[in-house]
Amino acid sequence: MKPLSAAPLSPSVKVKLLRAGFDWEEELRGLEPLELSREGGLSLEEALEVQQILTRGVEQPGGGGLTALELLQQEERSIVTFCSQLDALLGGGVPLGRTSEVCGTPGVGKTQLCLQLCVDVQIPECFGGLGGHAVFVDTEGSLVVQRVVDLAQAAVHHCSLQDHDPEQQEAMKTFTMETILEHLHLMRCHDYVELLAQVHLLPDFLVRHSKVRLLVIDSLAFPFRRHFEDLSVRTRLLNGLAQQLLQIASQHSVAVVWTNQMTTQLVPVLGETPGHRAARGLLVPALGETWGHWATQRLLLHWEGPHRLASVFKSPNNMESSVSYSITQQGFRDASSSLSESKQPSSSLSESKQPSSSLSESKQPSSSLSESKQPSSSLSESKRPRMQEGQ
Amino acid sequence: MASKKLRRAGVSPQVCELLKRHRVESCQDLLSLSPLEVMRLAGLSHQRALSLLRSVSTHCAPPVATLLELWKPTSESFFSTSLPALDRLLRGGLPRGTITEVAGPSGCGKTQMCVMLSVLATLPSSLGGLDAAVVYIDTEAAFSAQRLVGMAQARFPHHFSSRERLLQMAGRVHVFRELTCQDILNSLPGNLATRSNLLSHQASVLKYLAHRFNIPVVLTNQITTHLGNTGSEAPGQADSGFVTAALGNTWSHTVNTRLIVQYGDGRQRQIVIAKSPVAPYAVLNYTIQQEGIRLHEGGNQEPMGETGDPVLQPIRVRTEFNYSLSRPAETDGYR
Amino acid sequence: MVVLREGMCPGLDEDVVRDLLEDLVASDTEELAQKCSVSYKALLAIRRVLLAQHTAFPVSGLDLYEELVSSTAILSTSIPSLDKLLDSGLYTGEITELSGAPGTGKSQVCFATATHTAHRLKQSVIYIDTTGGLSATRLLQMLQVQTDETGEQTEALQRIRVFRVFDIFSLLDCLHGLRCGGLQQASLGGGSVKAVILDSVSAIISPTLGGKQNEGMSLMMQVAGTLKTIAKDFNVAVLVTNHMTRGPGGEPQAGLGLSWSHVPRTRLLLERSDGAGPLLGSKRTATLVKSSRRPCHIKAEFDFNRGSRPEEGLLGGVRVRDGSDP
Repeated sequence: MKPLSAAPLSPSVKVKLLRAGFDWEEELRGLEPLELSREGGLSLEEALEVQQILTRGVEQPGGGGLTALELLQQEERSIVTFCSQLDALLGGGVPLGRTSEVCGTPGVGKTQLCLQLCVDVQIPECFGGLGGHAVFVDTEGSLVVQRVVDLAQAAVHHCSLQDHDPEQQEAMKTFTMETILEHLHLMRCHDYVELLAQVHLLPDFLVRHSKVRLLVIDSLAFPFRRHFEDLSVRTRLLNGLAQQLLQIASQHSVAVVWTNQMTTQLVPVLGETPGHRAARGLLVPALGETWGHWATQRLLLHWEGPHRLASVFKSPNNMESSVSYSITQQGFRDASSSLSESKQPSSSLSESKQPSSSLSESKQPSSSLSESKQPSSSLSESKRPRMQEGQ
Repeated sequence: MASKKLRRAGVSPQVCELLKRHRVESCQDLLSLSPLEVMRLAGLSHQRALSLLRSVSTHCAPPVATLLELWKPTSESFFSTSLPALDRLLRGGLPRGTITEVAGPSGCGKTQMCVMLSVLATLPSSLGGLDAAVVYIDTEAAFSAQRLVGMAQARFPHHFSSRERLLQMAGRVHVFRELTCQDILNSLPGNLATRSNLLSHQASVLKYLAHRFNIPVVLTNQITTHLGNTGSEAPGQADSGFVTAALGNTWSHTVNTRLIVQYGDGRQRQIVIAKSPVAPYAVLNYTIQQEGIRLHEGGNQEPMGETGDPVLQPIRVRTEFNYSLSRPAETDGYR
Repeated sequence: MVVLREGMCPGLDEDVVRDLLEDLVASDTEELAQKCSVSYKALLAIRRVLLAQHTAFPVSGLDLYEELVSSTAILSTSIPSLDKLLDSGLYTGEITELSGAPGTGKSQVCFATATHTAHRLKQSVIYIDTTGGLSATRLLQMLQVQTDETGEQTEALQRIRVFRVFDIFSLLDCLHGLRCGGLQQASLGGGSVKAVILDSVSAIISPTLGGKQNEGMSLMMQVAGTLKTIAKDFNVAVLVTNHMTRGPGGEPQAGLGLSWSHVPRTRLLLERSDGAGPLLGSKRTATLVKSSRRPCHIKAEFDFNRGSRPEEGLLGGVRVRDGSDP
């Protein structure tokens, strides 16, 4: 028994049907369209549509859904970033079928990371890549083709060093800078209306181009930072947009990556020197706090002195921590070893390490507590070394 | 495209009529509604509302192209600055279709740079120019036609040997004097929200123009003092501030390339590539001559590696100017 | 005017009776007597019979208590301090809500509850994922901490049935499907369904609210009603997550507004303990915002290392701090 009020019918038709005494969808099922139109006071067209919508609901019974085991078998592949530390932090790269947000200050390398992913997603499968295509939605005009050419050439070169067996050599023939450019679809959106329109059309586009494995929106924030008379309109548009993107990611098994800008938020500072203005600017991701719920994982790119750091600060299965990276002529890479060595004594790293070390300290009492109080902890104790080895 | 009337976007007249009653007339109005709102206003079922949104979207979505189709030779996608070292780093010059910002203290050559670029843009393509006209929006009354002509003659004596060519060049530079802009920005210090709204609206207009006509857009920006985080710094720098590009963080997101001009040692000045989609961080020395900007070989022309956040990129100012301001900046410079 | 359809089906089946009943009981008896030219007495008699057949039964408190004791199960979240806060866990037949800012571990608590129910209690779990945030890898990771046997892990994963829905109508379809037999179907795999997890309810509902329509609100209440019915009729625990907004004074509040706040029986607000910055902290504070069993504003802290050694966080709560918030 499904209540009619929950059916995806047009509001006016719904009101007519409810007024005619139909409360449940099942009551309508047995009726002929002609009967329905007479009883419910609908036009024949409307009655036909109602029948059509209701039968659609019957076709997919509630039994659908997957078990977590089936999901685990599907869950899998991700796009490498070419920065091994970041890949490790993300558990192998940017995952397909999920949404990721990249936040960062201007010039820190958000676009570079996106472009790198667009190239990396195309690495042939025999090299451990995905062999997919990419869609780049550019709202800031920051995509320079010349730069993609650089990254593509570097990636091709990287792979050509590793082609050992004939299959790989065969794959290299179709993995060239030109094909990389050919498989990268660019959509340039100038304002939020064009962006919304484009997202409405993306499902169809992805059906036509079924090899697309990556969708990048760089940046999602820019078109929405202009003046909106009513901020609630902005919130509603953004929520709708995010919901569509989640759907795209999940249904087409595409990694969706969008970038977000940083904005300054004034935070009152307590207990500082009197006389000073008791407010401090804090850089936070734009588009508001609620927006942070949408992306499955969030990555923050930021500067720590002269070093670039990438931090994961929301993720369902990975720990939150920071790694350093660099941007070279060839693209998004690991921070060079000399740099990271010289980094060791610097304050930036020790700062970023501090919380994690305090964590491990805090674990000690927790385990002792669980030992004394819980019988189950003995089990976890015995498992612990195994976990460490596994890591 | 967004203001296209729904009737012309293939929406049936009945639906148009229904929507019009709720003041939904253009594609923009419709796309700003959620599917549930469309269901209510147009009296459609969920499915139909979605397909209405999709069909309207096809009328205002921009075209899709692969990068291979967009890949053009360097001369078509870059605007040469005629400074070989800078061009080399920027992969051929200022990227066309994007926004380039030149930021720096006063008297460092921002205007010189703009005047020089104006001359270059009018040159025929055989000389590396764009063979096109220039729109020069002057908000500080700093543009001097005499300087334009002088620079053209000094820089390209052969080409500008005849008075005719000079006049032709000068005729192609359209100067718009808008002295009130500065007042608007200055008079709104209290209302930051209004300012950033204005700025981001202007930015999207500029970006649209740049991309639509594939022209390079060059802006200049002033500098401002950035206050360090109070309390958290080392005692020596406890109350330090340093100078950086104005207009804040959000604006920095909108410029695609940021060049900073700053004072170097003696008469020398420096161009810093602080943000660029193609170039690494680099510092170039130059002086201002009769013919405009001249780069100097030698000095630290090599990319110095990473130096930090370009938004907070410290800018060196003249030491006589204000000692306390330049002190921390200098230490950064020698790092 | 309602068409009296009993003429078409003389059997007067259940549905028609219900329709008639509502009209009959609601209308004024005297008026009806005049209109239908039926004697007033006869109408009263009909009415009495109908009412007796269809009203809810009065149940005494003692009976309710006995039913509670016999049928209510309490599902552990597998995080001791949270369990203590919730008066030993999630109660079946009720809706419990977790709200909090992004990255405060709402989904992690859901994962922990799901794996615990599926593995330890050997009961089925329905997981409705509306954000694409469910990570089966993470579920497996949690199971690996609890058991070494691959077989057991596989079994536990099979007991978790995942639905992915991304708009309100498919959510309603899904919930009605569950109500009309889907739950029994899902339980065939072994163990009956004891928990329905909806992560997150705000992701589905918040885009439907506001603007030039009010259907969103009615759809939200539909969702709430169906969730409640599922919880009661099938005696399962329902766990939903909600996002967090800021009140006028900047204090955290659960999202979706006042109407939704009446739906869950128990609400928890999760926060990061070390409010230092967006990064690097795994301790979380849970505050009981609404509860019918325990005083509100009790806080509990739990450590929540999502990293390499999750067993620390999930089996060893740090401490529970009782007492109300100043």
